[in-house]
Amino acid sequence: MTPSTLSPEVKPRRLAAQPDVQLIFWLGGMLMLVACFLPWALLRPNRLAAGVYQNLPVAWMVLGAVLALAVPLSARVLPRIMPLLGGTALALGFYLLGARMTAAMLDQPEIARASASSGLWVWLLGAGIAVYGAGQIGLPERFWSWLAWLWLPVLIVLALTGQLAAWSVLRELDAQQARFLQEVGQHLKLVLTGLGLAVLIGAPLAVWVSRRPRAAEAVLGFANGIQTIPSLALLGLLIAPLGALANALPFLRQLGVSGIGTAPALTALTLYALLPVLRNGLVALRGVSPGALDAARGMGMTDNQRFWRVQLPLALPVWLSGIRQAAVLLVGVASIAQLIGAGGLGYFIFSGLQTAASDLILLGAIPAALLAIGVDALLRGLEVLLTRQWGRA
Amino acid sequence: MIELQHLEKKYVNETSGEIFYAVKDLSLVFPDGKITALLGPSGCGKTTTLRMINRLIEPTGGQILLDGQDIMAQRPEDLRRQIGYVIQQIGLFPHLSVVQNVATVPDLLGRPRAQTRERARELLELVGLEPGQFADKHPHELSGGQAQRVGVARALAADPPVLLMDEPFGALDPLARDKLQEAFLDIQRRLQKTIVLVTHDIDEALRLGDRVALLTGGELAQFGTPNDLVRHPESEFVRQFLGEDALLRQLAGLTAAQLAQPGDATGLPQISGTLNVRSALSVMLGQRSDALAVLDAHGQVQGVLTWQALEEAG
Ligand SMILES: Nc1ncnc2c1ncn2[C@@H]1O[C@H](COP(=O)(O)OP(=O)(O)O)[C@@H](O)[C@H]1O
Ligand SMILES: [Mg+2]
Repeated sequence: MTPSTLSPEVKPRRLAAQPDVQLIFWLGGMLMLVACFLPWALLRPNRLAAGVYQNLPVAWMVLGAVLALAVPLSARVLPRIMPLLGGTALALGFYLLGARMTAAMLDQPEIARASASSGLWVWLLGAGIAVYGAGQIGLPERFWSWLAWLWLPVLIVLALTGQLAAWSVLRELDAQQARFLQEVGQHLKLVLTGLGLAVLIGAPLAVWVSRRPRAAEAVLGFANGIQTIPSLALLGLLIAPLGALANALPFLRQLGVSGIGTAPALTALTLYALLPVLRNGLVALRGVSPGALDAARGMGMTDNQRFWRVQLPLALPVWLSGIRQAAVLLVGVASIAQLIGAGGLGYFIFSGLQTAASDLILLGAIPAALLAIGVDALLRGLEVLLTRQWGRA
Repeated sequence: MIELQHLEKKYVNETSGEIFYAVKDLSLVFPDGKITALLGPSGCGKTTTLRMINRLIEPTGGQILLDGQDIMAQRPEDLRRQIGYVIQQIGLFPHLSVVQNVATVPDLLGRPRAQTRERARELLELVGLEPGQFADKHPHELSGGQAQRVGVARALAADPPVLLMDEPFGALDPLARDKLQEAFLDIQRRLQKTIVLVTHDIDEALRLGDRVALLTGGELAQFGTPNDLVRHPESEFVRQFLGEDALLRQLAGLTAAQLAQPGDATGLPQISGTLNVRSALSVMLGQRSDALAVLDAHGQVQGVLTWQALEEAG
């Protein structure tokens, strides 16, 4: 062990000048520039009809282009304003989403739909890349770095004040609010129950096999095997046995077990989450410093004390990252649970696909993506907290 | 007092059925209040012997008596809580603070928290770590030498009469090792624990051990004081293992103060009493003087170190 070395003072200008970071800003800036000249809105007389594309007004086009060019050009000379620039660009994208949709819907009947078009999406992508690049500079000043999050309060204010209400996806949400809440709830229920069951089964199993190398191989092989079955196929494969089970044992059917619906979906989700939980559990438990474990035993801890006081706390941060992977995976897989009638956000995605209503697809896909990001951030935060608490870099 | 009686540990190779003795018919007495070094080349069974004393390894034959009691009579956990244990990998718990690490065994024994914390801070002081500065640090913030000082404090926390140490200074750089050995001897002078110290380092064994048990191939080659081994090797193996320069090495383990005698020190070159005798010898040769004045910590003349005394020691 050596005393932890302090990283040398980071020079932001130096870092921003690194070719790869420069490249990120060029990429983001160019995407934003292209976006200015693409259509931003699509106006349709109703949700299924064909529509007309609308470009940005010239003034916005020029302003957007200036901002787009400012991103790569100022990266070299003024790295510290990059978070502000990226955050502003992203916030501007959201503002324009509201403003352009509202403008498009002016004087239109209630059933008309204004949806965001390629220009807006490309702009958000470019601005997002710029924000990401700003995070890569490694600015020493906290304040300037936080400005990259400017878009978040802007988005919240826009949403809360109803500025985005003209957007077709939110129109759709407005029309199906009750259903939306129900399906979000179902999605969460599927993910949390699947994850909970996987942890409930996987955690003790990981502990048990971590002391038995041969059993560990078999168990990991099984879990690996399941992971290679495509999720769609796994759902299909479960229909027959669970259906048969429910037919054979009526009391199970009363508990809600059947070939389609929540039971097979939960079974599949649990099986999927099992591998990350198991594998990371094994890696984490086995990775605990042998010196610490030997010392624990040599000082007179019983096997139980050693596990709870030393091995588990030291394994937990690594283990948690496996649980995080599992959670993010499940948010995605739960989106197709609708295919066997289990509901969730997949309901909107698949009904949108069937009727070719892109707004409906987005109503399912955007919350699912946000949910994945949110779950990831939450568990990542917990990991950082544990790691910091226990002083391991 | 720890007594090994015909101690044996054999391993049977599962595939070939071959029998291998890691320790074979080993009888030894570790005297109370002394440091006994278990010395020998790598793989000679030192660690196995040590770990049988606190039952981390179960012997396949023979007996170990601790103060006349067979160690098998106790639950292994209870036995281990009365025996301090220090290892080369140090093995501090990275998720606990220094003071929590030190308090491990008293906590296991269910001693009152406040008293334990107080004692932990005293122990940090004893091993040369300022409690105010180190108590709440985490192991990753310590240097190797500091971490092993904590390791020693942790082993001493429940005030065990016996301390088992497996190459405790082996992972440290020479400078830190030297300082820690010094501090360790100083602590032992005050505490008088019964210590079993495993090492493959001849200098360390000669310097720290009151007794040295030299092992080879799981068997005892020779047991005695460092002096015995160096001057009266009982076999060719012992002589070769200690090497041609064993005498000089042993001198390096003695301090000038240990060999100083009363006498007239006027006009003699002066050296510090903590200087090792090998260095004192080179001062004599360099100054062309057959006697040196030995000073104590306060710069007062403590005695005279003569060529003759060196010859007798060497
Ligand atoms: N579990 C084991 N199975 C078989 N052989 C072992 C086992 N543990 C140790 N040995 C062997 O016993 C011998 C003594 O080991 P050890 O006591 O660790 O030596 P050292 O003197 O280096 O501490 C070595 O040859 C080692 O390979
Ligand atoms: Mg060893």
